[in-house]
Amino acid sequence: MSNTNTQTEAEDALLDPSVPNNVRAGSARSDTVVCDVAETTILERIATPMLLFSGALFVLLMFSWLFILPRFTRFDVAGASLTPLEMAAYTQQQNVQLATLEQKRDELVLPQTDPTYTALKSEKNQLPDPLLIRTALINAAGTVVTGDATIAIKTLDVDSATNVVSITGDVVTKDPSSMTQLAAYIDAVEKMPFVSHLQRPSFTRTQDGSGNFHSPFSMQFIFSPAQ
Amino acid sequence: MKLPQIIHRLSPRMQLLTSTGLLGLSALLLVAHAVDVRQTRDIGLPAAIQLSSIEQHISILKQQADAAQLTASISGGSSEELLHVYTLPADASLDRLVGTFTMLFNQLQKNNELQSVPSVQVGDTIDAPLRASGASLQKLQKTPVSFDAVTNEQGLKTLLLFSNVSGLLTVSDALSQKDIDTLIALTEQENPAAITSLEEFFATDLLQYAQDPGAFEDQLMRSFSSDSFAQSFHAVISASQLADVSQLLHGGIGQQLDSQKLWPLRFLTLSKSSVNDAGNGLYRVSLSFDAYSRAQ
Repeated sequence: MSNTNTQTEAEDALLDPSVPNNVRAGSARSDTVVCDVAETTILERIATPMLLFSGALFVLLMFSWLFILPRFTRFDVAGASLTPLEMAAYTQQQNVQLATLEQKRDELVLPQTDPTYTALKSEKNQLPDPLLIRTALINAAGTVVTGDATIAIKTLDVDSATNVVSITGDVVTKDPSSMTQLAAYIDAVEKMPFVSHLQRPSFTRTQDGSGNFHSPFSMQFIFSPAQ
Repeated sequence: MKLPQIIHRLSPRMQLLTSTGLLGLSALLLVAHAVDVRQTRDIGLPAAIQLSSIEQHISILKQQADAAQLTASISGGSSEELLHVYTLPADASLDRLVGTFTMLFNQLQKNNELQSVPSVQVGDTIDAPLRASGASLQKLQKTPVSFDAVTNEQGLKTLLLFSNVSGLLTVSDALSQKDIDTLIALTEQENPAAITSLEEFFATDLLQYAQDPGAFEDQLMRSFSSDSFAQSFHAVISASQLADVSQLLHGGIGQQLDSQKLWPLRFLTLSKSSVNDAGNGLYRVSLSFDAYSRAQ
């Protein structure tokens, strides 16, 4: 009996044009109708609490943004409150002022201010210094050799126009290790801070009348001034 | 109208829409909080830590610049004049230059460091454009000067060092920029007010310093109380070119330059050098210089 009544109500609802479609569709399946009606009701019921919650949250966050957060994220510098980005910009500005003052101070501390002289002196400092090169080559020869070997530098030519440094010399040993000693010396020369584009010599070995082994060498490199 | 009344007047649909809008704004505010905190941690705090030392440094620099300016205004001008008369003269006359080489050869021969007095070849004066450019730079000329000599080890070192010294006027000229920066930094650490003493030390005539380095160094040391400055200072000086220059100008060469009024030296650069081992501790040396002057 009840089943018949329900079916009749559903049929009426389907025929009634004033009933919304969803109710009409739901009427065909009674569980769907109950669910749709409940959703609307739920939304109606939560609307006010949700509005109150979102309003309170917004007010609290706005309060924090305006009054609490600045206490921890603002920097008081020279009577002004700066944001982190403004603080970074201010520090950068102070750094620039520091560099300018340092430059000014250095200019005042040093006696020569003639720009031509300063430029010429700077160019001279970039030129190869034969004394420095020779000292470094002799020191390297002294530290590299082992046993009773000797490395003699026969000629040292330095051309400041091209920065080319040419060296000839001879490695003398009592045992047949002269070529190995020469290789170690070339490695040491190549590692020197002012040496670039080293043209390695060919490795040869000869023996003189007294039984000593010789490895004469001739090499070139480009002098590169320290930066 | 009170807030509850306003809320109740809104339809549920409007209430939901308003809630959504407020939640959206809250989310934006939350993101803004996070960004602000992150910026404070990553940018603001490091900058704030750096700022205090920068401001302290700026304060010291201002004091030093004022003091240095005062000293410079009292003592300035004299070295500029020497530069224009002797080091980079307006005329390319050679009497003073040849006189300097003659004195050098005589001294080397007197010390048995040179086999015979070499002949000096002088070429034609030509323009010498600087690599750097600028309106304040004057035009320069250079005159090639060369000689061949046979020397021993010490004579060779003296000749090569002489080319390095020529053209230098003051102590600061014999120091590299790195050495100067180190000494200034040391002064800042130990006694910023002593910058004027350092300024005077830098401006000391190189020949005068070489003849009595201790006197000038002691004068500077009086401005500093700690031993650490003295140690660092001597470490810088002994590793610099100043030590070699002092050694060269300390003895007979320095005295002759002073007595024959050949100081300051003409600005020379070594254009070409050749050193050949001649055996028996002797070297055949061929040196070519460029002597600079200002173009008229």
